[in-house]
Amino acid sequence: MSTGANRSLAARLAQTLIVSVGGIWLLCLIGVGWYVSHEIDTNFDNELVESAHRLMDSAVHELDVRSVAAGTDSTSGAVVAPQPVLEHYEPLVYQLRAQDGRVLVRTTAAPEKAFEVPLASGFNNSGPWRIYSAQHPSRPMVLQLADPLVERRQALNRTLIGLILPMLAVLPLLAVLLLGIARRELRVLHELQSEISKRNGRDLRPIGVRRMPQELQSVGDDVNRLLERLSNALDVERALAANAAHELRTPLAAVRLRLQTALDEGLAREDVQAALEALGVLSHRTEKLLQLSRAESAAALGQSRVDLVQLAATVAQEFWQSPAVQQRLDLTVPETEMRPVLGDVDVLAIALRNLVENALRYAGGARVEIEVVAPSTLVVRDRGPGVDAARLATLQQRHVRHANDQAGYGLGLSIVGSIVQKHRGQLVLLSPVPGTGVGLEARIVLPQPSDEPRVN
Amino acid sequence: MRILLVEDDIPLAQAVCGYLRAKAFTVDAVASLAEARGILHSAQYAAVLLDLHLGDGDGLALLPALRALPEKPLVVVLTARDQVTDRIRGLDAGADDYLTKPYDPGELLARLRAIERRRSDHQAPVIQLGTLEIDLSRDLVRKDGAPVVLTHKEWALLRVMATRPERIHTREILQDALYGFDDEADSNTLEVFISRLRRKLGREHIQTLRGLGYRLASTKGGE
Repeated sequence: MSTGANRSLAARLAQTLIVSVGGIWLLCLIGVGWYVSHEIDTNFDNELVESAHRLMDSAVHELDVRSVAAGTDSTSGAVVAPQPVLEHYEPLVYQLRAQDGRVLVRTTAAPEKAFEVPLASGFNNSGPWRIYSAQHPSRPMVLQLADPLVERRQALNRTLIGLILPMLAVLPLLAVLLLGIARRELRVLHELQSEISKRNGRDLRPIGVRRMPQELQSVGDDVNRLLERLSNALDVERALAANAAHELRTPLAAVRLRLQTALDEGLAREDVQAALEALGVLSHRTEKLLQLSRAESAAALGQSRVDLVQLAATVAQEFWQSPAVQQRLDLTVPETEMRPVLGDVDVLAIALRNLVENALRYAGGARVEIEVVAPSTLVVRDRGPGVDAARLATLQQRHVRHANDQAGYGLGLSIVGSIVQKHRGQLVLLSPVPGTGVGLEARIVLPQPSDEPRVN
Repeated sequence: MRILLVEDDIPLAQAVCGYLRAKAFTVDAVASLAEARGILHSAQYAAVLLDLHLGDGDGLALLPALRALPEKPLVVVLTARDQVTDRIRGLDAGADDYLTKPYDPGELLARLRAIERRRSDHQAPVIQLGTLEIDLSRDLVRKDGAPVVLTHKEWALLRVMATRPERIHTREILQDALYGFDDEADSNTLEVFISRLRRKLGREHIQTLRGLGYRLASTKGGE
């Protein structure tokens, strides 16, 4: 078994369970031990009390008989009582003591020296003895009956051993059982793992999560979402690779052919002109591909505070460089101060620029408006012919192009889509523009800026 | 007109030089900030085409030296198209204009011609805004074909806006245009003249963009 966090989940689970079960069992054992020892003490003590009172008369009788026999009150040396053999198989230990502490009578097993315990009635421990002192009801004597403590300890030990041994035998069995159960229950993890490991560039089917336990279903769902995103990204990549090869090679071939012709046959104006146009197309397509790759990698970019009004103004002024567009493109910003949103200004500018480019291109010469709407929306609307409902639905899909899309403008919307998605926003397309009956409106709705204190 | 090109991509620099020389501009090309500093005082440049990402630093570091020249050249910043941040940075730092790479030669030429016009004031174009016609070279404004009479201050404002119709003009720039006339140009004055211009030209032709400034618009209403 390897160490640390890399061990198998089943082994970790089994180990934790065994340790917990063992711990709880140990606690139980301590409790039971305490209870049993208490019970044993009580029983032994009761017996001691009973025996002491029973022995009292025979001890006093012994003393009286011997005193009469000796003729005088014994002043030195205690009377040694004979060992009664009837009730106990073990030697009886007691001392009958006078109020002044002298030992009057003792059994053979009892020490000659007086027990070092007070003469008052009650229990005391002294050395290896548990001693009960009983006051004679009428004479000034105390009977001290002793019981060896070791007996009680032995009784307790026997009980505990009876408890511990079976458990010690069962624990390894339990460990094996728990490990087996953990392994069996966690097999579903192995299944998930093998399902995931089967996925690759060609197979990104969702993983079946129906039969999985609840916890794994959410993991499976997350994996499926990841697979879906991956699948989308791969689709984009494949479409790009397929398109890029064709889209870049064609104008490149045209440029080379035209320039070669111009070199070989003397500079013909139309050849150079055509080469220049092909380069223009190439430029535009390269730009789109770069934008797409930036849009796709936007998640990796840092988020900073973006002033949407400044962003829209910058993009608008970029378009106004062309006098023809100056006449067609309007910019509207809110009357009130806007809080900055979080995002990547360069990438958001790409999104806005693409919407404006598309609008200028497909609106058939109609006016186009950029509007910044508080709190966090960029709108591009045109008064062109717009698109019908079916077309609108396909527009948001990736790589669907308008008819006669020569320079890859259709990539524009998928670029915008990616960027908006990366910013956790929404791209909404409406046609016709509400309230006008014509045109197309594209709204980039970004998450609202958080409610931090407003800084003007 | 003499132009300084600061660009560290040699083939591109050569191509730009070739193109501009063919269009009868005089061009000096340098590839680094250090070279640019060395050559700045050797000639009087009308415009500087400034790449921002140079081998020995940020092109914007050159701006203070350019502003200190007796005849301040106009600075056109060259940036990648998707670097809006660079562009905002450049304009904030005091660049006059920008061009995005890869630039269309026609666009470059148009920008330089505009600089030339602004310097000479001779071939100022006629700006057409809907039914409004602004002839900068002859100080004439026509609305629906009829001449509009403007005061000097109104002209000063309109000239700034019409010279760069692609721009949003900040209040500061427009106030500077009013500055120099005898009476005090307090901050309210600008609004007064803007509203007078609106009354004369049609209110839709001057758009207010809150927080940004004013711009000439063809039809869309302002406030």
